[in-house]
Amino acid sequence: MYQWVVFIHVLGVLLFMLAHGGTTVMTFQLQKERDLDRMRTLLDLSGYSWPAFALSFLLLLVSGVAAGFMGRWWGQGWIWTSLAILIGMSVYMGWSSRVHYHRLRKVLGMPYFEGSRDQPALEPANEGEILAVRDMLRPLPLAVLGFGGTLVILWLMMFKPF
Amino acid sequence: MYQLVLYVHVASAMAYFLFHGAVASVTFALKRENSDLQRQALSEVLDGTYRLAPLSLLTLLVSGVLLGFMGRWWRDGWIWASIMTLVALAVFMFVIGGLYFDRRFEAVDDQPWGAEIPEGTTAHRLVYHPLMARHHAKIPILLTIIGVGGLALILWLMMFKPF
Repeated sequence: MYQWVVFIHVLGVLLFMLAHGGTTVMTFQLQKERDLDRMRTLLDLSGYSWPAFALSFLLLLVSGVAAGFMGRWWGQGWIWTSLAILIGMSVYMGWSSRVHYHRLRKVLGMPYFEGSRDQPALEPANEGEILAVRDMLRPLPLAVLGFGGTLVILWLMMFKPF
Repeated sequence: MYQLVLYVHVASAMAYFLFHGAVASVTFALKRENSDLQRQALSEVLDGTYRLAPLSLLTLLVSGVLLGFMGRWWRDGWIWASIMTLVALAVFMFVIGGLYFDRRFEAVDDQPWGAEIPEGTTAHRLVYHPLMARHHAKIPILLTIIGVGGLALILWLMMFKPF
């Protein structure tokens, strides 16, 4: 039974990477883009994978916690460290998404998320302001943090050093 | 050493799926984005992805083959079944996915996305059959189901090594 739960956990991780891929590539492409309609298309790209993203994250988290109990791993440090890294990354990326990408959606005249809820589209800002907001995007540190954190979690889970 | 190579194998699989996820997102986005400008933006997302994904795929394959030798797995059936499943998946996605992208991107670029199938051949008649045209919009779902199913099968073979 434990092996099946680990199987579901690993499958959940791979599906999560699949679901997150669109967002990752979009953030780099957005940095180069000047056409406003193309920016809107790119920003909507991550939205298509949101249901898969949420479901796969839930799957990997629940199966991971279950595997922790079944394998009696909660007394060890590596599992708590992994969980802390995962939560830390999720909080930071969620914050970054609201501050940068939803702000860009707002000035582009798209529906956006603010104040803990969805907001309707407003009138688009002028092109100068939009490009100024776009120029504040920093996809590389996010990608390094995200994939780097994932590699650390993978190392902790495979080698269980402490 | 085996565990380190296994680590590289799993990490490269994760990287590959990250890049491939962009392709999957574009496949679904193409169902809704109908203007040439929007499709051009999506086409460029794929260009960026296809430049980076091959390195992770190569690392995945090389580390997998290496693990097969290090663990002396080549006499077992599961590893051959995994490779055959991977090859079948790749061919299926190249042909069907390529056809889908050809049709959706034909107005915005002349890059051939899939295999060029000569007219008059059985393959051409199958791929351009009216049934395929009628169900063209369902291709992203079909690709997802086959892809995720294949992935689950390969993962099961590798984790449980049943034969």
